[in-house]
Amino acid sequence: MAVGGLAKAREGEAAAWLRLPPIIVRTEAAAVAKFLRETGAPAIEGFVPLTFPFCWLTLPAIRPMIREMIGGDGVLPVHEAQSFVYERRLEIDSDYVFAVELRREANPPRLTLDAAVSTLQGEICGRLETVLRLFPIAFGSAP
Amino acid sequence: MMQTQSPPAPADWPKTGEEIGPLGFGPFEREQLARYAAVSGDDNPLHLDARVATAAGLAAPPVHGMLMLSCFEPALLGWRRDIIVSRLSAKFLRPVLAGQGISISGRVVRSNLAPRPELVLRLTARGPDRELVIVAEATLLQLVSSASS
Repeated sequence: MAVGGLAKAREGEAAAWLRLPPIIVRTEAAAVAKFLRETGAPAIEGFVPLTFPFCWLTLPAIRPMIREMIGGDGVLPVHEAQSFVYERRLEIDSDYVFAVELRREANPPRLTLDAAVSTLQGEICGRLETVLRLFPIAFGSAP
Repeated sequence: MMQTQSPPAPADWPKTGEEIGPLGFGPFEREQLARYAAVSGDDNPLHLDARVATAAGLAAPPVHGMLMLSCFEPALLGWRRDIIVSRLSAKFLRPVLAGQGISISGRVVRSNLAPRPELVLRLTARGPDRELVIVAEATLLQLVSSASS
Protein backbone atom coordinates (compact mmCIF):
# COMPACT_ATOMS: atom_id res chain seq x y z
CA MET A 1 0.00 0.00 0.00
CA ALA A 2 1.51 3.31 -0.99
CA VAL A 3 1.60 5.88 1.77
CA GLY A 4 3.40 8.64 -0.10
CA GLY A 5 3.09 10.56 -3.31
CA LEU A 6 4.59 9.89 -6.67
CA ALA A 7 8.18 8.77 -6.95
CA LYS A 8 10.47 11.74 -6.97
CA ALA A 9 14.15 12.38 -7.31
CA ARG A 10 16.17 12.97 -4.19
CA GLU A 11 16.91 16.65 -4.04
CA GLY A 12 20.32 18.25 -4.08
CA GLU A 13 22.33 15.37 -5.49
CA ALA A 14 23.93 15.14 -8.88
CA ALA A 15 23.45 11.37 -9.08
CA ALA A 16 19.84 10.68 -9.91
CA TRP A 17 18.25 8.97 -6.94
CA LEU A 18 14.66 8.00 -7.51
CA ARG A 19 12.54 7.83 -4.40
CA LEU A 20 9.59 5.44 -4.53
CA PRO A 21 6.48 6.04 -2.47
CA PRO A 22 6.92 4.28 0.88
CA ILE A 23 4.80 1.18 1.34
CA ILE A 24 3.51 -0.72 4.33
CA VAL A 25 5.08 -4.17 4.70
CA ARG A 26 4.56 -6.93 7.22
CA THR A 27 6.73 -9.59 8.83
CA GLU A 28 3.98 -12.13 8.41
CA ALA A 29 4.74 -15.22 10.48
CA ALA A 30 3.89 -17.68 7.70
CA ALA A 31 6.11 -15.89 5.17
CA VAL A 32 8.97 -15.67 7.68
CA ALA A 33 8.59 -19.38 8.50
CA LYS A 34 8.84 -20.31 4.81
CA PHE A 35 11.89 -18.09 4.43
CA LEU A 36 13.52 -19.72 7.47
CA ARG A 37 12.94 -23.19 6.06
CA GLU A 38 14.68 -22.37 2.80
CA THR A 39 17.66 -20.61 4.36
CA GLY A 40 18.50 -22.99 7.18
CA ALA A 41 17.94 -20.44 9.91
CA PRO A 42 17.11 -21.66 13.41
CA ALA A 43 13.48 -21.77 14.38
CA ILE A 44 13.59 -19.26 17.21
CA GLU A 45 10.23 -18.02 18.34
CA GLY A 46 9.61 -14.52 17.03
CA PHE A 47 12.85 -14.48 15.07
CA VAL A 48 12.90 -12.45 11.85
CA PRO A 49 16.05 -13.10 9.78
CA LEU A 50 18.02 -9.97 9.09
CA THR A 51 17.94 -10.70 5.36
CA PHE A 52 14.15 -11.10 5.24
CA PRO A 53 13.42 -7.48 4.19
CA PHE A 54 15.20 -8.17 0.90
CA CYS A 55 11.99 -10.01 -0.09
CA TRP A 56 10.09 -6.73 0.05
CA LEU A 57 12.07 -5.44 -2.93
CA THR A 58 10.13 -7.89 -5.07
CA LEU A 59 6.69 -6.58 -4.08
CA PRO A 60 4.50 -5.27 -6.92
CA ALA A 61 4.76 -1.70 -5.65
CA ILE A 62 8.53 -1.76 -6.04
CA ARG A 63 9.63 -4.36 -8.52
CA PRO A 64 8.31 -2.78 -11.74
CA MET A 65 10.42 0.32 -11.13
CA ILE A 66 13.47 -1.83 -10.45
CA ARG A 67 12.88 -3.63 -13.73
CA GLU A 68 12.45 -0.36 -15.56
CA MET A 69 15.68 1.03 -14.15
CA ILE A 70 17.53 -2.18 -14.94
CA GLY A 71 16.62 -1.66 -18.54
CA GLY A 72 14.22 -4.45 -19.40
CA ASP A 73 14.89 -7.44 -21.61
CA GLY A 74 18.44 -8.01 -22.67
CA VAL A 75 19.98 -6.79 -19.41
CA LEU A 76 20.93 -9.24 -16.71
CA PRO A 77 21.24 -7.99 -13.11
CA VAL A 78 23.96 -9.69 -11.09
CA HIS A 79 24.12 -9.19 -7.34
CA GLU A 80 27.42 -7.47 -6.56
CA ALA A 81 27.09 -6.35 -2.94
CA GLN A 82 24.58 -6.32 -0.11
CA SER A 83 24.43 -4.80 3.34
CA PHE A 84 22.03 -4.69 6.27
CA VAL A 85 22.33 -2.40 9.27
CA TYR A 86 19.84 -2.60 12.13
CA GLU A 87 19.11 -0.27 14.97
CA ARG A 88 16.33 -2.43 16.36
CA ARG A 89 15.15 -5.95 15.73
CA LEU A 90 12.11 -6.56 13.60
CA GLU A 91 9.19 -8.13 15.41
CA ILE A 92 7.19 -10.98 13.96
CA ASP A 93 3.71 -10.23 12.61
CA SER A 94 4.30 -6.50 12.67
CA ASP A 95 3.78 -3.73 10.15
CA TYR A 96 6.58 -1.46 8.98
CA VAL A 97 7.14 1.32 6.50
CA PHE A 98 9.50 0.37 3.70
CA ALA A 99 11.00 3.25 1.74
CA VAL A 100 13.19 2.59 -1.29
CA GLU A 101 15.44 4.80 -3.33
CA LEU A 102 17.17 3.73 -6.53
CA ARG A 103 20.13 5.07 -8.44
CA ARG A 104 21.22 3.99 -11.90
CA GLU A 105 24.84 4.49 -12.89
CA ALA A 106 26.01 4.19 -16.46
CA ASN A 107 29.70 3.44 -16.25
CA PRO A 108 29.92 0.70 -15.25
CA PRO A 109 26.22 -0.11 -15.53
CA ARG A 110 24.96 -0.54 -11.99
CA LEU A 111 21.74 -0.16 -10.04
CA THR A 112 21.90 0.66 -6.34
CA LEU A 113 18.87 0.29 -4.09
CA ASP A 114 18.84 1.93 -0.69
CA ALA A 115 15.91 0.95 1.53
CA ALA A 116 14.88 1.98 5.01
CA VAL A 117 12.62 0.04 7.37
CA SER A 118 10.79 2.12 9.97
CA THR A 119 8.04 1.60 12.46
CA LEU A 120 4.65 3.07 11.65
CA GLN A 121 5.57 5.80 14.14
CA GLY A 122 8.61 6.71 12.05
CA GLU A 123 11.36 5.19 14.18
CA ILE A 124 14.09 3.76 12.00
CA CYS A 125 14.70 0.02 12.43
CA GLY A 126 17.26 -0.64 9.77
CA ARG A 127 18.56 -0.07 6.29
CA LEU A 128 19.61 -2.29 3.45
CA GLU A 129 21.64 -1.54 0.38
CA THR A 130 21.61 -3.71 -2.72
CA VAL A 131 24.09 -3.23 -5.55
CA LEU A 132 23.36 -4.88 -8.89
CA ARG A 133 25.81 -4.94 -11.79
CA LEU A 134 24.00 -4.90 -15.09
CA PHE A 135 25.24 -6.96 -18.01
CA PRO A 136 23.89 -7.18 -21.55
CA ILE A 137 22.77 -10.69 -22.39
CA ALA A 138 22.11 -12.11 -25.81
CA PHE A 139 19.44 -14.58 -24.77
CA GLY A 140 16.70 -14.59 -22.22
CA SER A 141 15.23 -11.69 -20.34
CA ALA A 142 15.90 -9.67 -17.24
CA PRO A 143 13.85 -10.50 -14.16
CA MET B 1 23.17 0.45 16.20
CA MET B 2 20.83 -2.12 17.65
CA GLN B 3 18.98 -1.24 20.81
CA THR B 4 20.07 -3.46 23.67
CA GLN B 5 20.54 -3.36 27.39
CA SER B 6 24.17 -3.26 28.51
CA PRO B 7 25.01 -5.79 31.22
CA PRO B 8 28.58 -7.06 31.57
CA ALA B 9 29.84 -9.49 28.94
CA PRO B 10 29.80 -13.17 29.88
CA ALA B 11 33.08 -14.70 30.95
CA ASP B 12 33.39 -16.58 27.66
CA TRP B 13 32.81 -13.53 25.47
CA PRO B 14 34.98 -14.11 22.37
CA LYS B 15 38.36 -12.48 22.06
CA THR B 16 40.05 -11.01 19.03
CA GLY B 17 41.45 -13.76 16.89
CA GLU B 18 38.88 -16.37 17.82
CA GLU B 19 37.72 -18.28 14.78
CA ILE B 20 34.48 -19.92 13.77
CA GLY B 21 33.78 -22.59 11.22
CA PRO B 22 34.11 -23.74 8.64
CA LEU B 23 30.41 -24.53 8.60
CA GLY B 24 28.90 -26.20 5.56
CA PHE B 25 25.67 -25.13 3.85
CA GLY B 26 24.10 -26.84 0.89
CA PRO B 27 24.53 -28.28 -1.61
CA PHE B 28 21.90 -26.00 -3.09
CA GLU B 29 20.01 -28.11 -5.58
CA ARG B 30 17.90 -26.58 -8.33
CA GLU B 31 14.73 -27.52 -6.49
CA GLN B 32 15.87 -25.44 -3.53
CA LEU B 33 16.66 -22.50 -5.82
CA ALA B 34 13.10 -22.71 -7.13
CA ARG B 35 11.70 -22.84 -3.60
CA TYR B 36 13.86 -19.92 -2.50
CA ALA B 37 12.73 -17.94 -5.54
CA ALA B 38 9.13 -18.62 -4.54
CA VAL B 39 9.51 -17.54 -0.92
CA SER B 40 11.78 -14.56 -1.57
CA GLY B 41 10.22 -13.35 -4.81
CA ASP B 42 13.67 -13.28 -6.42
CA ASP B 43 12.83 -15.22 -9.56
CA ASN B 44 15.62 -13.84 -11.72
CA PRO B 45 15.75 -16.42 -14.54
CA LEU B 46 19.51 -16.54 -14.24
CA HIS B 47 18.98 -18.73 -11.16
CA LEU B 48 16.19 -20.83 -12.59
CA ASP B 49 16.67 -21.20 -16.33
CA ALA B 50 19.67 -23.14 -17.61
CA ARG B 51 19.42 -21.38 -20.98
CA VAL B 52 19.84 -17.98 -19.37
CA ALA B 53 22.73 -19.28 -17.28
CA THR B 54 24.35 -20.65 -20.43
CA ALA B 55 23.89 -17.31 -22.18
CA ALA B 56 25.63 -15.71 -19.20
CA GLY B 57 28.56 -18.08 -19.65
CA LEU B 58 27.77 -20.39 -16.73
CA ALA B 59 27.64 -24.17 -16.80
CA ALA B 60 24.54 -24.22 -14.59
CA PRO B 61 22.24 -21.71 -12.87
CA PRO B 62 24.04 -19.94 -10.04
CA VAL B 63 22.75 -19.99 -6.47
CA HIS B 64 21.08 -16.75 -5.42
CA GLY B 65 23.57 -14.54 -3.65
CA MET B 66 20.93 -13.74 -1.07
CA LEU B 67 20.31 -17.42 -0.39
CA MET B 68 23.97 -17.85 0.44
CA LEU B 69 24.12 -14.62 2.42
CA SER B 70 21.08 -15.72 4.39
CA CYS B 71 23.20 -18.63 5.67
CA PHE B 72 25.57 -16.27 7.49
CA GLU B 73 23.17 -15.40 10.30
CA PRO B 74 22.38 -19.09 11.04
CA ALA B 75 26.14 -19.76 11.00
CA LEU B 76 26.70 -17.02 13.57
CA LEU B 77 23.77 -18.14 15.70
CA GLY B 78 25.08 -21.69 15.54
CA TRP B 79 28.33 -20.40 16.97
CA ARG B 80 26.72 -18.42 19.79
CA ARG B 81 23.08 -18.03 20.69
CA ASP B 82 23.68 -15.03 22.94
CA ILE B 83 24.28 -12.61 20.08
CA ILE B 84 22.29 -10.60 17.59
CA VAL B 85 23.61 -9.52 14.23
CA SER B 86 23.26 -5.76 13.95
CA ARG B 87 25.19 -5.32 10.72
CA LEU B 88 26.13 -7.56 7.82
CA SER B 89 27.76 -6.37 4.64
CA ALA B 90 28.99 -8.58 1.85
CA LYS B 91 30.48 -8.65 -1.60
CA PHE B 92 29.71 -11.46 -4.00
CA LEU B 93 32.89 -12.45 -5.81
CA ARG B 94 32.10 -15.59 -7.78
CA PRO B 95 29.04 -17.65 -8.60
CA VAL B 96 28.30 -20.94 -6.89
CA LEU B 97 26.42 -23.22 -9.22
CA ALA B 98 23.33 -25.28 -8.52
CA GLY B 99 24.33 -28.55 -6.92
CA GLN B 100 27.25 -27.00 -5.07
CA GLY B 101 27.56 -25.83 -1.48
CA ILE B 102 29.51 -23.30 0.50
CA SER B 103 31.48 -23.32 3.70
CA ILE B 104 31.40 -20.28 5.97
CA SER B 105 34.27 -19.29 8.21
CA GLY B 106 34.94 -16.27 10.35
CA ARG B 107 37.40 -14.57 12.64
CA VAL B 108 36.84 -12.04 15.38
CA VAL B 109 38.77 -8.92 14.41
CA ARG B 110 37.51 -6.71 17.21
CA SER B 111 36.04 -7.53 20.60
CA ASN B 112 34.75 -4.75 22.80
CA LEU B 113 33.48 -5.14 26.33
CA ALA B 114 32.51 -1.53 26.89
CA PRO B 115 30.39 0.46 26.58
CA ARG B 116 28.68 -2.82 25.76
CA PRO B 117 29.78 -6.21 24.48
CA GLU B 118 30.30 -6.03 20.73
CA LEU B 119 32.15 -8.11 18.17
CA VAL B 120 33.28 -7.42 14.63
CA LEU B 121 33.91 -10.48 12.49
CA ARG B 122 35.41 -10.93 9.06
CA LEU B 123 33.58 -13.71 7.30
CA THR B 124 34.10 -15.68 4.14
CA ALA B 125 32.18 -18.21 2.14
CA ARG B 126 34.14 -20.61 -0.01
CA GLY B 127 32.90 -22.77 -2.83
CA PRO B 128 33.50 -26.45 -3.53
CA ASP B 129 37.09 -25.88 -4.65
CA ARG B 130 37.84 -23.65 -1.67
CA GLU B 131 37.56 -20.61 -3.90
CA LEU B 132 36.42 -17.41 -2.24
CA VAL B 133 32.86 -16.60 -3.25
CA ILE B 134 31.69 -14.10 -0.60
CA VAL B 135 33.60 -11.80 1.72
CA ALA B 136 31.62 -10.19 4.50
CA GLU B 137 31.86 -8.32 7.75
CA ALA B 138 29.41 -8.51 10.62
CA THR B 139 28.86 -6.63 13.82
CA LEU B 140 27.40 -8.66 16.67
CA LEU B 141 25.94 -7.43 19.92
CA GLN B 142 25.24 -9.37 23.05
CA LEU B 143 21.64 -10.51 23.18
CA VAL B 144 20.12 -9.54 26.44
CA SER B 145 16.96 -11.25 27.56
CA SER B 146 14.36 -9.21 29.38
CA ALA B 147 14.79 -11.52 32.36
CA SER B 148 18.41 -10.46 32.81
CA SER B 149 17.93 -6.75 32.31
